[in-house]
Amino acid sequence: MQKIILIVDDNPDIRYVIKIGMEEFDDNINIIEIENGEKCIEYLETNSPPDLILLDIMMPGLDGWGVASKIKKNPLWDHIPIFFLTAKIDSYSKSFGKIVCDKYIKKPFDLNELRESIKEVLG
Amino acid sequence: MIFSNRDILSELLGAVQGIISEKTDEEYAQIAVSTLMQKLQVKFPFLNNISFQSSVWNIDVDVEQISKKEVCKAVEAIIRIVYMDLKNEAGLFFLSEIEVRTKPGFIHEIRENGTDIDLLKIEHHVLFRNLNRLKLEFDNKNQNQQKQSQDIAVGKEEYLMNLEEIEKELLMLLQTQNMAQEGVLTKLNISLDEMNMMLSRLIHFQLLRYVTNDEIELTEKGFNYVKDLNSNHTTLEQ
Repeated sequence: MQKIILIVDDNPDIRYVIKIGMEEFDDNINIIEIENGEKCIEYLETNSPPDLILLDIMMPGLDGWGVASKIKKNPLWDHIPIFFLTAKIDSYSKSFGKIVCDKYIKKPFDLNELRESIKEVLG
Repeated sequence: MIFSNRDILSELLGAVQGIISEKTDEEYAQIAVSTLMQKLQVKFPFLNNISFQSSVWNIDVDVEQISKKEVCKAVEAIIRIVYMDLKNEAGLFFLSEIEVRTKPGFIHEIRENGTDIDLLKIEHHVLFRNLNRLKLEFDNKNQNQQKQSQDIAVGKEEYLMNLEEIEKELLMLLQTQNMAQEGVLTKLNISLDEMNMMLSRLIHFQLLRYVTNDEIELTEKGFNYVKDLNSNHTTLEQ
């Protein structure tokens, strides 16, 4: 069964690299590109919950913290694993991010490590 | 001041939420604190009596039936989860912020009832010192400055802090100039993370304090330290 992963990032290059890198790695993975936080929430409101969300923290408008909060507050979505995928490397962001989210991955990231982490979550 | 169990939990949760909120956002901070408590409910079932309603933590009166020592064990567990995950530099800041953001006497109250803040600080300090030493092994360009730093420390037993030379430079800079963050980074040729690490240590040693959320100044102890540093430098030059 195909697994749906949302990549929410305002940088189209990052979205492209992940989409190509992940879909090549596994035919059963479908990456949905989403360019900002608001559109991520819109997607969730109108579609079945995805299997995983890769979420950038620093985005214009609704940022990653805001998106994660809305997801975890909604009982229909709070089970969705979230990976923060971010250039924010300060200890606070990482630690506070890890309390709520499943993984905190620093940019630039190693695609193989990202694949491994996704594999762990998706099984 | 006497703190009830509800007071203790309310003070702690408010402080932790405030700290997380400053680095993330308010809603996320509330979710993070709720998640922390959910994780700890297995060990401390009475945490189930806490909920977030209408922008405040609502703590059921039943919590008063629990022994204060048990509540303070939960307090230590909450602090420990965040603190130890903050690794070295930011952890010191976290603990000092808890103290700043709670009512006077809070730290004394939890310490008296079994929250071993001092042990947490020592564990953290040892971790920090070890990491710092490791870093120094890769950085021998400051060896001469280290030697000078140690010389200055001799005879000044009250300053067992053994500050790095660059930390002393930062203190002297703060004494003589009113600089923006970028200016300090450029002047000392350090990264933002390195500066935050130094600030955490200097705040921990009570040489610096926060005036506002983003403004730092020397404490009286800090001024005296810099004064001694200057006189030692003068003596060495003579």
